[in-house]
Amino acid sequence: MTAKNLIPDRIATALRQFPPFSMFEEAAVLELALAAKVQVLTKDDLVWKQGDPPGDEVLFLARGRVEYFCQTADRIELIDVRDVGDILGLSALHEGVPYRVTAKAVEDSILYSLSWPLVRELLAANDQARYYVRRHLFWGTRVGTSIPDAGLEATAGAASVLEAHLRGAHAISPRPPERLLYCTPETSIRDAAKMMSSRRLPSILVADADRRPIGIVTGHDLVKEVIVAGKDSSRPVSTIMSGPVITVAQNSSSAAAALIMLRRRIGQICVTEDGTAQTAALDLCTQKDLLAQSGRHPAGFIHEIRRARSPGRFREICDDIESMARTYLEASISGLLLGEICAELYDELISQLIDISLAEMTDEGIPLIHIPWTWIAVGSDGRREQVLRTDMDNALIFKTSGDIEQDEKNRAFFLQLAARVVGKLVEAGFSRCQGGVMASNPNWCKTDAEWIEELQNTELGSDNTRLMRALILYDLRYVAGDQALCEAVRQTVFRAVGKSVAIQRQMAEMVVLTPPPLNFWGNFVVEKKGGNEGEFDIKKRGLTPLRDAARLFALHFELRQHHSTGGRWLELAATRPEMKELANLAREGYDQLLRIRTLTGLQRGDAGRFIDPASLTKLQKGQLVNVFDVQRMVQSAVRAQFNLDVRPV
Amino acid sequence: MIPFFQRSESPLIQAYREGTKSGIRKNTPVNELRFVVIDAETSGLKVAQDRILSIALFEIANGQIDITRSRKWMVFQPETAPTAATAIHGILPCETRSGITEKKVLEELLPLLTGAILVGHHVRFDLAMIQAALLRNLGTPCYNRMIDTARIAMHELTAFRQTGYANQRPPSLDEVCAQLNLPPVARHTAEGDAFTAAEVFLLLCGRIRRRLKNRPLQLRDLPVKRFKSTLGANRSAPLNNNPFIPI
Repeated sequence: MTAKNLIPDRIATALRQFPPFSMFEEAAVLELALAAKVQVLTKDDLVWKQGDPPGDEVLFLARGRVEYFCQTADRIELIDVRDVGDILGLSALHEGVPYRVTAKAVEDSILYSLSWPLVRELLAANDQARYYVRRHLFWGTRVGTSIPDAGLEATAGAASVLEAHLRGAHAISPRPPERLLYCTPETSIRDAAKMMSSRRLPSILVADADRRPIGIVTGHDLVKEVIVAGKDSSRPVSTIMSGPVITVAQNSSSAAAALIMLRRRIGQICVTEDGTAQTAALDLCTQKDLLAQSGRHPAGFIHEIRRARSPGRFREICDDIESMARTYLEASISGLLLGEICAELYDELISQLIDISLAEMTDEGIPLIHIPWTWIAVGSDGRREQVLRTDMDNALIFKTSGDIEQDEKNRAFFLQLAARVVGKLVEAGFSRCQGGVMASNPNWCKTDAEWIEELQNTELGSDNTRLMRALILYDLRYVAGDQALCEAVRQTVFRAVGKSVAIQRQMAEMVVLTPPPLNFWGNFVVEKKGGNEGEFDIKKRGLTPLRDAARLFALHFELRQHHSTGGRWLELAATRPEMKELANLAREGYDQLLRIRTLTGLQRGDAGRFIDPASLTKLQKGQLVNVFDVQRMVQSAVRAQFNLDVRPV
Repeated sequence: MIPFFQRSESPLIQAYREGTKSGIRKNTPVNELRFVVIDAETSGLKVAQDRILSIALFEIANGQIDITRSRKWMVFQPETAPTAATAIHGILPCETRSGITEKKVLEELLPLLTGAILVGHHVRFDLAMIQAALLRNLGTPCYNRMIDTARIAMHELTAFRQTGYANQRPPSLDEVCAQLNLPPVARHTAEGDAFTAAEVFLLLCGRIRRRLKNRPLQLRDLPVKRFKSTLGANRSAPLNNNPFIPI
């Protein structure tokens, strides 16, 4: 008559309708349901009170509605509403702190109490679910509501870059003790050096029988004492070691440890159990190790990206990169610099994804084609301006075999590879390029010969799409694979465009096309049509002319060193003294626009293209007006340089 | 009293009687009480003739239904033919063969009932059936106190208030669920009905608490009745609050 476990089945079905439970395996959810308790609350019952310690159960709201109230000194504030399918009490349990809000049922509600140890175990094993939980349940805003979640980290802007760093900084967590390389004071210098070179470590710890640190021998010590001073390498290491060893406790701040190292001018710091030299050593850290451990430091992200494997984990890392970007921007770091940092990180991400995809294809028995290829970034990505995961712009070059049929076969292979990489990027939170500028598109996956042929043809005619495509291509930048292949194509760009007056003229016309977005009275020109009336298109009216002008000058004067718009202006300032002042102003202006756009994008969760003039502070408005003055200057410089005021005959 | 009967009492029944028969103090907080929400599916409504086909129970302790402590049994009834009730609960005679004997079920059930207050919708009928089975197999009556959720609903929900009309009857589980805006779970299975009744019970307790201005509930606030076998094993008249007639 009935299924084996009717009621637990029902509970499991109810749970599985909602993430994160929908991401778990059916059997695992049933196990949760079998250990569940059902709690019924009538209107105005309290689920828990502010300050109560969390139990060991998370609550799943199966019916009804629960509101979170926060009691401050003088008033009670409604903070959040939880609906059917939401999980209650996760952040308190996760952090092991008392509830920061009072939860009250505002309707008759049914709650399932689930065992927190079980849920935690499931979350730890499932990247996707953990990602979901982090994003929607106790971090950041919930989908569909603008009310901030209770118990968030303070979102006030960081005062300085250092603070932005420290906020995400980790405590030192020592690596497994078997990683620690150490020897006794009696060990000979030669043996110690052998140990160092076999483990490829720059230093060795000298410790007593209880592993308490006595001294450190570094590669530099070996050079100084043995090679320069000529000491006998069979003598014990205690004769050349330096000491006493500077120690820190485990779980102390990694930033503080880095500062100690800088101040005392040492290259290594020893982590011991209680922070003194009287306890056993756990780890020996270099600056590099600390950097990799400090949460939001870019170097830490590189480390994380290299270790990650699953799509959910990549997405988590990208979220962290964005939150780093936000703290940096709020700490007034240059938008251009941030772009460069993010480009490095996303490049690392892509080469990691390519490696994973190639490994996958090998596992599936697809034969790899061993010819040179290179993954390039084009468009905004090529200019290193991609801070947000707005869209991807990439392309692929592979070496031609000279045979059309063979090339087609190779293309099929590279298209498949690119499709996998693009799919993984999408899973990591990038959106597909609307214009199809992706290496998985046959139009953007070509042999070097085809690319060179396309670029040499500068007769673009009046066809706008061909011009757009060319402009995107002119910003190409090497990401992964064979760099020589990419260089060859890039040389073609400079050679072809540098020679063609027509195409330069066409580009120059585009620069002056958009007048500065200020009306006669100095107010902003806002959009009059489309979905964003009353707002101001910072991309079209601000960024594009400056960006296009930089590209035009770079191609005209053959400035090859830099890819980014900021870099191009810098190079222009350095090589053309007559344009130095203008170029520096343009660079600063571009930087400001970029920062405003990125901040708007982060706030609104989109590309940040449209800004509402009313939301700008007076100071920001003033800055913007200055930037548009610069834009006017740049445009007249372009007019003069490319003789636009003279009608072509 | 009579030595003959005392000797014949098995330790199981003795423990049940001693753990259950003595009263519970009226001012015991409800959160300290152990409630067992019970539902039985039967082959019909005549206590004397019909048999229990399945029983399910859920325990409520500390205001929570503990799924880990729920039990259910399919009862092996060798002599049942399809009846009108079969259409309701859908238990075919052949399915009861996969169950265990009535006596064995009762022996497992009795320790769980010990000291508990039984809760159910029209629980009086379920208890009558169980008592009939108990008398038949183990020779003991049912000593438990009981709470009928239909009864609480008549007190707490305006829709079911006593009006004085002659033909007013206690509300069915479906009607109560509709009033409480609660989706019934797997109706007409012992497990589903018991679970639904447990949810209804907890919701109604909340209503009582609200009426009492959120004072912690005590036993005296609930309509606890001692089970008296007014529908004794010898009576064959159908119940007037018939849970099986769909309304």
